[in-house]
Amino acid sequence: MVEKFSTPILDVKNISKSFAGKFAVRDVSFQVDKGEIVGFLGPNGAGKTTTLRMSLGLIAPDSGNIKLFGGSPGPNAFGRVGFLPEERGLYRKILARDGIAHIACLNGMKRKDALIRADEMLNRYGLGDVARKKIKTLSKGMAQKVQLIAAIAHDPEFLILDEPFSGLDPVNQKLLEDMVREIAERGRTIIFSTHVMEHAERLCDKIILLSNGQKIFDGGLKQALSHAPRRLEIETPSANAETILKPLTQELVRSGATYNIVLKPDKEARHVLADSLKGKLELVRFEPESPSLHEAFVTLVHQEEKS
Amino acid sequence: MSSFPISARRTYLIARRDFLGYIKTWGFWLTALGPFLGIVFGILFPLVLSQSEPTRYATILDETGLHAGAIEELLITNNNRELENILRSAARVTIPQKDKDTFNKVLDEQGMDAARKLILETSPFMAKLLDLPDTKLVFVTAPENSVEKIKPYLMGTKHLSIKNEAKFLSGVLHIFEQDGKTKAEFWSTAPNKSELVNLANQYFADTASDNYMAAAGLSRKQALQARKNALRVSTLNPAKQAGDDGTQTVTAKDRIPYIVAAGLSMMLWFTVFTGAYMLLVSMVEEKINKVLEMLLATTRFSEIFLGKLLGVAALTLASLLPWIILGGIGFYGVTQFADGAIVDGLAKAMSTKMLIFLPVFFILGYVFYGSIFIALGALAESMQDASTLMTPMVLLLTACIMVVPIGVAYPDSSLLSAAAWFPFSAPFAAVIRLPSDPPLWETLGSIVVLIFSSALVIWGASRMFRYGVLSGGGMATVKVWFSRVVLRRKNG
Repeated sequence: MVEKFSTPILDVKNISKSFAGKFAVRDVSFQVDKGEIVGFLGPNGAGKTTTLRMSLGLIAPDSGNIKLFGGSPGPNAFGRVGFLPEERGLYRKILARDGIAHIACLNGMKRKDALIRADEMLNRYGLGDVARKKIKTLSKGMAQKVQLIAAIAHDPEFLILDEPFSGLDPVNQKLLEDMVREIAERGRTIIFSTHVMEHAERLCDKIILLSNGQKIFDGGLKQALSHAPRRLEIETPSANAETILKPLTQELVRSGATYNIVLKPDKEARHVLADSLKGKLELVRFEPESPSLHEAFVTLVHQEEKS
Repeated sequence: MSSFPISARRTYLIARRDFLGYIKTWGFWLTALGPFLGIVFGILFPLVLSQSEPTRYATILDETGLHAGAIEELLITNNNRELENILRSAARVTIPQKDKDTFNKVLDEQGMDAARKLILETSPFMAKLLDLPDTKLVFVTAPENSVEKIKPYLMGTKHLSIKNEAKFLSGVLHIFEQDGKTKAEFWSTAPNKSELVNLANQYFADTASDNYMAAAGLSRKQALQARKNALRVSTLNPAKQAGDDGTQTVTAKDRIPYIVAAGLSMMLWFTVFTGAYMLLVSMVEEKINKVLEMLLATTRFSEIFLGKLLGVAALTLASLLPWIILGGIGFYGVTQFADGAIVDGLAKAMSTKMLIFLPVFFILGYVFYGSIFIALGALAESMQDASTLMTPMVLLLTACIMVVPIGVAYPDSSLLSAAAWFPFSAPFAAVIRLPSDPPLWETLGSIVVLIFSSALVIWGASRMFRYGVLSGGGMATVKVWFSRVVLRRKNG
């Protein structure tokens, strides 16, 4: 359980930002508390990167207020934040260890310590062999890991990762997930944006969902999943099955003796079970499906678009 | 956290990164070592060329019996004159000013061997360079008495025997009478080698002049002497204080400061151009490499901006170091070996005003142009974009350097005065004006204009930088940017 403190690490209140007269972010508020891993979700163009950039103080909001470590974002937080931007990049012509050490030095480390740390971390994450190779010679996945190491080498209290998993193969995605989890275990706070719901489901304490520049959900994982449609798969040879199930469902697909149903929002699996027993259905299989964050995401975005 | 808005350490780290990033490239070392390579190449190339050039054997078939001896004599005279010129040039940089008269006397009265010995005593290295190879054109006796019979030698089917070695005959100059007129033909399978032709033409031109003048009872040598003794116009400047000779005659001492100022102005232009270009490339590379956003999460924009200016300034200084060293050596050489008027002129050129204001205009010019180029770099998405954005600035810079020749020829030009108030040309115009001693308030005015312009450019550059780097702005949106960011129009 995440311990709550009175001063959140990041406190975003009613921020808005527009480019060329078009809203990129509109009246967004949220908090990130110490020790949390927060997933920042949303479709392309939802305003995730703009919000993260404003949270760092890279660009100023048109309205609203942001507090990072209780103060203004920007120089006051230098050295306490690690940032992995969406558009990856390091100096191409320098050695991997030098690239990491350079960013660590800018974050306040002494050069000698930064180089030692760079070597340590490269070894820890299986990149010891490329420490003295130029970054331009590394594969995309390796370069991305080197950049993540550059973002965390100074051991920041708060880590902002913009689409950290994009462009990585499944093996490297798993490795990156492990890195994030390991950092979180050391009590660090993390916010990351992603399109890959599985990562958010596996890693996050809290989900923030943006759509069209507006926040449409902010809460725990369970709460987010509650928005996902609840599905059931029932197998029964009884002829009256459809008659009994239909009043409880908003969607029903029959395939022989198998019924795939989506429950009405006010109904639960236990209601289906009770009515099935009351109607004396011969149940061969009764299998509620676990809700997925992906479905919750789609539902919430769909609801938002409708509204 | 320091209350000062710029962290010296982060600024240093940015500057260091830019400096080291460039200093490890081939381009930097080629630029830096350019002057030395140029000197080595300049010395070695003629030496190698002369060493590799084979000796050419030629003959003169003079059927008139009047010219061959004179042409051969002219070759010796020309070679001696060339050697004498080389000795006099060498003496300029080897014989101290106080001994120049002695050297000239030795050369005039005792000949070239004695003069060379004198240089040897002063500078053994230079004397070694004066060991010139023997002439590459050697006259031999004609192997046959007609061109037809000589042709096999030219074609290589027959050879000359010189010191028991077979040698090719490279050409034959045939002088003969035809229809009562003297004619000359040069036969060779290598007609592009025209040394003998030039020599013969010089001889016939001199002879024609001599004959023409002799008909009128004159001599060419006397005519040349008369030209040497011709009246020369003295230039006087009423604004000049009377010199040592009690007159207001304009001397080298008065002209040198303008030439030095022109050189310094050109050097400033070159520095600004090189430095600003490096800043632009550095910014574009970091933008293409997507490094900037990560840097901005750890470093203030002002620190990146200043760090880049300082890093590239150090780099430009490093690349200019060889020129500065050579300049220093040259300056020392001039003070030691050049005549007094040049030394006095140089001393006048490096006046107190110049020593104070030159670094000021160097710094302001660099900051002004550097900031513009950083901003352009922030807007560019690629090197092609950068080239396109840079073109107008290069044209403007090229136009601004036109103030240098104006400053040398017309230091009181109103165009030059106006250019000193225009920020783009002010650094160059103000420097070139310094020898004409403009009012102090005008020089200070140029400085104030540049300070305000630089501040304005830095402000604009910072907005362009943030817009270009963080808001996805590129060339295509420059117009939109001007409308929204500079003009502050909300709708457009």
